[in-house]
Amino acid sequence: MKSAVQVQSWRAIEALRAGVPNRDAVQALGTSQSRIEERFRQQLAAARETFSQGLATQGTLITGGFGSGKSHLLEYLQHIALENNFVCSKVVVSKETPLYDLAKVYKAAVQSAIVPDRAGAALAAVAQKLDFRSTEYAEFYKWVNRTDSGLSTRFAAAVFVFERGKGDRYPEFSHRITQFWSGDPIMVGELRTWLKELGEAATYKIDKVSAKELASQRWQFAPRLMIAAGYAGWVILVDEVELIGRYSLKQRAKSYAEVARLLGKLERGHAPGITTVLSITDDFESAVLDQRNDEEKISGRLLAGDTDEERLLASEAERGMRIIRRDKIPLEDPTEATVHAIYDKVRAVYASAYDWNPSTDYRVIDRTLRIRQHIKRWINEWDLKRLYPGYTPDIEVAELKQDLSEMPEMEMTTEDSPNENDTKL
Amino acid sequence: MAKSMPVDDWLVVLSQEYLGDFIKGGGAAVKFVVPLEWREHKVVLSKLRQVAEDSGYLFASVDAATTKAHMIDKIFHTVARQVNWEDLVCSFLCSTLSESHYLVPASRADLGLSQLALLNGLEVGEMRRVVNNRLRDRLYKDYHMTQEFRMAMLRLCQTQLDPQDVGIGTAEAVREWLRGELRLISALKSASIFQKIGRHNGRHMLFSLSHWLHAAGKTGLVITLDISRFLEARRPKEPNGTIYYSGPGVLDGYEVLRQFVDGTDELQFCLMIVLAPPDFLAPEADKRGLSAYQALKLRIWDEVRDQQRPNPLSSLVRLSGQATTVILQSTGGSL
Repeated sequence: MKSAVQVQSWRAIEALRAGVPNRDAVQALGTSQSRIEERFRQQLAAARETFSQGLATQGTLITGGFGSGKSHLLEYLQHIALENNFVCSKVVVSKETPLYDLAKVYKAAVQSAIVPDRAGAALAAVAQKLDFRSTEYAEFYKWVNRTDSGLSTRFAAAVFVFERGKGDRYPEFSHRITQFWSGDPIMVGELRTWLKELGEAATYKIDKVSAKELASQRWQFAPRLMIAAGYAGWVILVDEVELIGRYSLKQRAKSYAEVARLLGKLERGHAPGITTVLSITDDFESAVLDQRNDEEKISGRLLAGDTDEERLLASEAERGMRIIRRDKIPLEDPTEATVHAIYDKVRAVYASAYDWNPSTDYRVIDRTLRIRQHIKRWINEWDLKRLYPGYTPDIEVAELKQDLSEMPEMEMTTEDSPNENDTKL
Repeated sequence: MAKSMPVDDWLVVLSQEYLGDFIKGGGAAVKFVVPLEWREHKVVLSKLRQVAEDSGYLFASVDAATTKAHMIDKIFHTVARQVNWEDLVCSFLCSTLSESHYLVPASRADLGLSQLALLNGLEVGEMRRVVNNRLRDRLYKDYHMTQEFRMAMLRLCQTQLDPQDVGIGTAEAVREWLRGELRLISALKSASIFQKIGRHNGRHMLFSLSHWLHAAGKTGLVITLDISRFLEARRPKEPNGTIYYSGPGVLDGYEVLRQFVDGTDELQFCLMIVLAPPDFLAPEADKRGLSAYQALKLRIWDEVRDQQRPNPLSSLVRLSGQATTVILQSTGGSL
């Protein structure tokens, strides 16, 4: 039987073999992106500072080629965030989590959230840690009940019911309420019944609100709830932002606006207590912004519209595109020494996983390879040498190209996946 | 051109390296296997079942033609229907009590609170206290499993020990909930379970199951997912009762698989084998093949490979029906 350390090493190699970074691989390899790491640490400090002033924290947009280590870096940043007492989510933009859909991104962020020192569903874990006598909670309670908080009264009512029902007294209420905070609808009739049972039906008049507005309000509510529970805030890491390129023009416009919002660059919808890092491939600018002329097309299409909403979206999308053009931070290219150091680390992890020593003889085969290709090459070679002693591998490396052309199927839902925004409240 | 390898060669590696070692030790992996000849799917499935069960794993197979494989909760329910929950509960209870040096009866029929008390020379009340403490420490506080899953297993354990105490029908309601057959969730209020298994929690339920299997004495879980149906665009004129997928449905299916690949961090004691037909590897223009969903392709494609010999440990392996060609070196350590 393998020891725990061997299994951990094997997990790391298994992830690296597939080119998908995981916790174990990140732990074993660390990062050579010291500039971005330092910036991220400052960002965390700023997030604490700006929250007390009710301001948004400026996020970071990182860029690099496919296989250059962006996902690995995000995984590493997650580790730093958790160490610094932030709740941390990693969202991969995908068909299920389209960037233009605020509600789905929120749900994905909540579902993937990791809470320092707690297991299980994130907001339930956060809620369990609330100390109703603490100053942080008092501040939160005051904010949630303010008429100018921008929240529907159902949030204040839910907080009240949750506080009264804490523990085993009303486990079902508590569950429903944390589900509501996590993105599910809440039945107003049910909420009224609970309030009535607690003798406070007259205090909380439940207002009408659309699902879209509720989704937006949850972005404001959740980080404050986390801070009320004693956490430093909420870090959201968004990977594979380049998927925007596969959407239609209108959804690309919405997605660019979301990029700006998530990075804390918009007045509207900024959420104190949240700080983000987004990653995008370095070919996005030429393949989408240049070749499809998005800046002109999007502004042209939306400004020609009749509504204020379209005009506002045009300006926000423009902001997002400008960030992608000018404000992204490229990953540092690895030096020869960096690649050698990574070789030594991967070699040590491989030796630990398999009780088998790969060659210490590091040779540079091709200086143009990306880190992912280097690592896959080494591991492939070692696998074959280990399994077939005497065999001399002859590894070839093909270029895996990403296609950023429009793909309408990415926006289509199946009959089994209703759009939550259609839910009647 | 990527090379294929004989089924049996691959099974040897899988059996030795993964089932016999890595997964058994708490690891997890997702592998994509493409038998290049259609008829080989059944052969691969039956051989996989054999090696998995020989090594003490629960083997569960899911076919996209009969399960909506683009929905994680449906996958979970199909797996749950292949689990003998009562056996696992008994095995868990026996090992939990034995490790605290309590005697357990030889037959499952005798695994009740009063019989346990009698066997161990204790009052029923005292025995109940002992059992509750052990269940709290070994099950309720095992945070590798979601709270709902733990509550469900707790109720099954309590039903086994003292059916009168838990309430009529609760255990059956729990099993129906796991299998996706429960009509009204209110039946499980008393078990502190308030929601059905859906897309939002299906993945974590599956992760909990593989951990629970190990805790209950199995080596772990081997799941095969045959996605051949994803590649079939044409539906028969007369419905045949099986499932066909629209283009977006196929992409949803690939997204579910992508999430499995990314989620191996959280998974333990589990090997997932995705079986796909050769069309899966079709070139770019194909709307249903792997190339249709880049997020998955970029994760599993073998763009770095040996020119002569396929790597049996790769995420994506092509299998041929040839006879075994080489004898593999046993890995170091325990094999």
